[in-house]
Amino acid sequence: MRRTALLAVASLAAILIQLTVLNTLSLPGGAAPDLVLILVVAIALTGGPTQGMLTGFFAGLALDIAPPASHLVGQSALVFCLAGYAAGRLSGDLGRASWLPLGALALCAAGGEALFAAVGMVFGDPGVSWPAVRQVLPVSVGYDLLVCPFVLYAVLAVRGWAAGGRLAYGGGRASPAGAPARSVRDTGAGRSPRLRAGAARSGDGWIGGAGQRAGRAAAQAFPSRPLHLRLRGGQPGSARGDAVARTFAARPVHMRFGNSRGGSARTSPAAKARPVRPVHLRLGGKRRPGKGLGGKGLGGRALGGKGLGGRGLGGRGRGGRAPRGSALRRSGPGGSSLSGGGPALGSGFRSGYGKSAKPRFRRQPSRRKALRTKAPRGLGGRGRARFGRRSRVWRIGSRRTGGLS
Amino acid sequence: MHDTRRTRLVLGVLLAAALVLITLDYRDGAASPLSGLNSFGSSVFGSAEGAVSLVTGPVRRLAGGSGSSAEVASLQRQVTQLRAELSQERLSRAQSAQLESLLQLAGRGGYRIVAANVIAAGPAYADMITIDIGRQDGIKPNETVLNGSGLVGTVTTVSTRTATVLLTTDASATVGVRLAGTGLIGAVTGTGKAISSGGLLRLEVFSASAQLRPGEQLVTFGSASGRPYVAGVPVGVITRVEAAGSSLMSQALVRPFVNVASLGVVGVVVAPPRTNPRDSVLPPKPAPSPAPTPAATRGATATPTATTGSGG
Repeated sequence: MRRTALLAVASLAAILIQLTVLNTLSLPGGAAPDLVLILVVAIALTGGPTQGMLTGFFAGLALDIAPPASHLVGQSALVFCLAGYAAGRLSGDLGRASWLPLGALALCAAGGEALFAAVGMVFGDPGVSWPAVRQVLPVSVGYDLLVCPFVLYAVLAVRGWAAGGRLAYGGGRASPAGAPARSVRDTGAGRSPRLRAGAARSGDGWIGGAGQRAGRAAAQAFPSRPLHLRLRGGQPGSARGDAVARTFAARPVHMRFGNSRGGSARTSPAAKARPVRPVHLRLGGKRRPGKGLGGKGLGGRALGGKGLGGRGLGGRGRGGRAPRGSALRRSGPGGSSLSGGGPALGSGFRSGYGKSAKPRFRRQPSRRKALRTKAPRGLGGRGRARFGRRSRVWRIGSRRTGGLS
Repeated sequence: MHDTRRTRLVLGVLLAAALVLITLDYRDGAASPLSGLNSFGSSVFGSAEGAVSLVTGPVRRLAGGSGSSAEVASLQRQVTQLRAELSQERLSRAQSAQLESLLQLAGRGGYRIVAANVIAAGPAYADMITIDIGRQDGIKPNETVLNGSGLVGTVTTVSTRTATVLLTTDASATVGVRLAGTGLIGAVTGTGKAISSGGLLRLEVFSASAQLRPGEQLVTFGSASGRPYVAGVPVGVITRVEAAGSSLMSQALVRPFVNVASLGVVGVVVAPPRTNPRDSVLPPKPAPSPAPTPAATRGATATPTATTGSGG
């Protein structure tokens, strides 16, 4: 409720600023930045596709009926809705580099501008002629690029403020889907947000904590950069991401990355190290299960150091929401579930254990940093589930792959 | 949640809703069931824009304000009796200068006007503005809007306290014009954003043999009963004559007198002049063909009254 009100207020403010200030500024080039579009895309990038497209639709509709509008009612709603959806879809896959969220923001904004022009041309708006588009589109996209970082910063700041320490960032709803690990992340540093030129370490976020309290809360709630795998009897719901830290107190599982040679996880079958009962640990393989960690790489303790890409596990919060009813919850009443200890393990890390399997993974602490910093994106990176499609989770269940080898 | 069936369902519903809205608006135009939605949006957002522009307006005007203080003082003395109802504190100096020239132009042409402020401007591909007067100030659609320099546009939609103006430079605006001096008749159409320099008009004179020259001035020809354009309002000056080609009409590019990028105070003509002012409203420093200024209509009807809108 509060979030809805905030989104509405932000959209209305953006619309009014757009109409009364930006459009009347008569900037060189004859165009103005589209603040509303950028805001919608930024909200979608930090909040997900549903939030993005709902905000986009209603903000666009409001922009369509606000007075000096000549285009068709629904045109902006259509375009902004699509832009919000696209940005929300992109948002799960952007933590890899510092420029990616801004790049995605710019890309979606440019796409939205182009789509708006295209819709105008389709419906025969006399103002939207091809020469006019050629004049206006590059200039407005350029202004959009200038405005992008500030809007993103503001959205993050407001989100951090609105979360009030309960949630660090992103997707808001305290859903069982778990902690939202969006592309724009909170490093939990307990300070006001700041734009960082680049991530010096690969574990770094590129935007600092989203507000002080929120940052601290994030640091406490998601001590996620070191990998924690906790094992618990697989009662339904036990694998939910947000409940991990509290409910999985029973029996810690120590993962051991035994073999640190490059590519070992990929090449050597893990049959030797396999525990008695088969363990199905899925590290988000995308298309080729054989390349994912679940296919070959993971025996009981043979998680190759390089194979288990440090970025996929070690601190890059990726697509943190496990869909409801994912593989995590399908391990049967007596089975065990393995889940990530926070946003670090999300949709990129799906696992399902066989019944009453009790593997013991021990992770060597000294290798943690090496994993994070030097590991290529071999398995964890490439095999990461990009958008967390549910169908994939179904497909790569234990039934089909039949184990790890 | 990230991309589930529900997300796609919501997306589909929203897209369908948007397409339905577009289709309804595209098919039915003003008679569509969306007109209620439109008027609702106009009233709500118009009021909000008026309120916001009270704050942002002075900032914008600071950027455009000019003129020495002595000039401003003299101009203020001249127009004191004409802007009796304008609250002094709400007017910056730039505004009062604009209002003064507006009243002078209205006085020359005999237009009865209502002064207004521009509070918002339109989307990327359209040249439209919102002004802070509306139905309660006596504004009706299809009334001419002008400022101290010449023709601004025409009122398209009116809500209670705001009105939307289609500028002459918009690609969908066409104004019947008459060339000062020669009396040739033509029409100017806005070019929108299609020309890089921006804000130009394209003149088509309904005569293949017309000899157009750069520097010739244009006034509005005038519509029946002054809607949507009253007669005699200065429009612009020819800057470039284009080769006729095979067209039946002579074409030229016209630079409007009004700089649409810096509109401040405008006036809506609520009553056309009793007699056609012909070329008398044109600025006094003409170019190659000095327009004859018939003195008959000057001063006879030039008692404009200016009222200001309550301003949202």
